[in-house]
Amino acid sequence: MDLPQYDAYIHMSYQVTKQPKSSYYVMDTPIAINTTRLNDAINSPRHHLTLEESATTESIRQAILAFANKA
Amino acid sequence: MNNNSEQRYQVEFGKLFAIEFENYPKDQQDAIIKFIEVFLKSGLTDFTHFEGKIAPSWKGLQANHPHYNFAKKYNLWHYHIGIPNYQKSQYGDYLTSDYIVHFMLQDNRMKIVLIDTTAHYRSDGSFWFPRAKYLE
Repeated sequence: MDLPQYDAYIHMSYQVTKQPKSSYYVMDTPIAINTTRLNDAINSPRHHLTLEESATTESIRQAILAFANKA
Repeated sequence: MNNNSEQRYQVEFGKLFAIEFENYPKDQQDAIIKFIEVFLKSGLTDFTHFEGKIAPSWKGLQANHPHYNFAKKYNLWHYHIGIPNYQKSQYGDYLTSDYIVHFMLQDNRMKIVLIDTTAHYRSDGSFWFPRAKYLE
């Protein structure tokens, strides 16, 4: 089988930057935002974490769980 | 955690957030609580206090993107919580993860409102959602 003959070659040119981005504000990729889901969450009743509830890791956890089960 | 007699920074969360939080595995709960604790102690004046990356959610979007105005309107930010793990970003000296917590930044950066925890955008566009019963 004859090999294909080429009379030209592909020239590739590219540039890679290794410059670090200087800011936290730069995102790797844009996030996908489900606005319906977030709207529901934004408009739901809120609980303010009190100083007492903020005292320890476990008290924060319990405050969130208590609000989840609040009628 | 917060030893001051006065609460300088404020944290709020909604019912849906709390209901979903209840169903998270413990390591995911812990990651979110750690974010809360660091915020209550240090606020958002210096991001280096946080292990993961923090970013406003409209950054990286074009101004005509449908989500841009939404994120901007609610001052919607997100924090990489380290679930399932942290990876060093190729773009800078910070850590990112697949999962993030969304929050609104309010009152001149003195208050955050925790909104939701979701997966970060992936190349195949897949997105993780809790099952519907978690939201009932």
